Amino acid sequence: MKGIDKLLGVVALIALWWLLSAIVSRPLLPSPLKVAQNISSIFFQSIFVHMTHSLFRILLSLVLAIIVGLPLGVMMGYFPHAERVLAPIVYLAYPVPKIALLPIVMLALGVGDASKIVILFLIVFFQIVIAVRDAIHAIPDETFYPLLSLGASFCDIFVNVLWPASLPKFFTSLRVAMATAISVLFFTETFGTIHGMGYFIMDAWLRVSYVEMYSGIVVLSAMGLALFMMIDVIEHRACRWQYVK
Amino acid sequence: MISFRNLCVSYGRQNEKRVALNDVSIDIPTGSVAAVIGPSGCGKSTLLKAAAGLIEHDSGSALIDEKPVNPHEQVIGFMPQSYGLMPWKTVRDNIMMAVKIKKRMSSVKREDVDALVQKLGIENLLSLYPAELSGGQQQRVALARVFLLRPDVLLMDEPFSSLDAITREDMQEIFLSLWQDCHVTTIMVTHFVEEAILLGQKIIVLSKSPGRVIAEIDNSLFGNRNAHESEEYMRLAERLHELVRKGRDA
Repeated sequence: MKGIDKLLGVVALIALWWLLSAIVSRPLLPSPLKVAQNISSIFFQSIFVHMTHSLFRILLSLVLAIIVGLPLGVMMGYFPHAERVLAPIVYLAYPVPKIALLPIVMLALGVGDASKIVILFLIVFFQIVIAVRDAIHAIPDETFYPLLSLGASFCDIFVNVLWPASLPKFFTSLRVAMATAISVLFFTETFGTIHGMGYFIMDAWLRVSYVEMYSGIVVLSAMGLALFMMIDVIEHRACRWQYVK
Repeated sequence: MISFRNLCVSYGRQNEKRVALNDVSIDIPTGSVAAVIGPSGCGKSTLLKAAAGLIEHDSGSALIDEKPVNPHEQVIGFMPQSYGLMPWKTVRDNIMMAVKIKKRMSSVKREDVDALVQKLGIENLLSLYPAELSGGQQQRVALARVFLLRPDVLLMDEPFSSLDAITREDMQEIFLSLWQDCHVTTIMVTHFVEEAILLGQKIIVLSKSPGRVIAEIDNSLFGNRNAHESEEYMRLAERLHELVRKGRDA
């Protein structure tokens, strides 16, 4: 999607919101202008600190999931022995709804940041492991032959084949996981914290401050969009070969 | 010299083993090209993989200069049918990959690289990716990669078979001229009789699975594109066609 298309999408969405708010004409749905004014007046006083907490949680869990998930996915994809041992565990653990583990994780790690990060980690981690493993399985044997016949080390094979071949699916898995992770982030932040966009939105809702509530939703959405765009930009740079012709 | 001594290779598990090569013995002298021809499924590619050290064999041996094939010690240039270019690397990185892995970067001079890419006519493609190239151009890049490496042996699996007839002839010429500069010991698998006669000093005919050597022919027409009309050419081509047919029906 080109920049201009994205901009048009945003404009269309705001126009629709405006129209709806004019039709409904109740505090339940404030106009986008009111929300924008509110954001600009309270962003640095109150929203910013919540946003940084949320960003910290999601980015840290993302980094941890990549550090652990990527090597594990590579191992499962490349070494049949590792696949045989790990596949049943991953297969059984993957479908468990991670959000349902929140009470257990909270009992074990407390209600602070640790439990939230662990839950987000679990969501992204499995997506990465499975995507990277499948990407490596999909590499034709012939791709390895010129390297193996040169006596290439595992390190050579990783750098020249496994890593670049798995990148596109890796980024796709990040995108998919990110959408879920942001929803779950919202949910986890409604427990045991007074910081985070989830807390901010629910708090505004309980105080019946709809304009603030909408401000929170807009900022959280913008955060998600920014993360998406960040992944897009990195992917375009890292997988340039995918975008030729 | 590349030698196969009573080589047997099979695929699959114990109770459902499929023998791909049965008791194959061939010697390919140092500095010569051997063309291997035979019907589909005769184990031509398996023979190359054995020479490249990519597969285990059941018995017998595959030797390079009397030593068992070992990709870590010998320098083996392997060109698979699909050229083996990495789609994520530019042409330049693809060409340099083999020498980098073999840690021969220091012995490769910039002028050598420039001369080679110029000879192959790919000097303007160096920053492109394989997906942006035609089949013939990809083939040239693959040739640049193996010839820059200056390998002890060169193994090519039907290198020109997916090209159109005109491009194929061009590539055969380019291969011959590159080969004449360095005389690397080469095995080339092909399913074209004409190609075997043009590019094989020795032509080896394999039979259908399990692959066995049914003929080994010394070819005096090697490298001679104008031999097409000669009686000797006709006789050899006819004989090879017959042998391949025999191998298929064996």
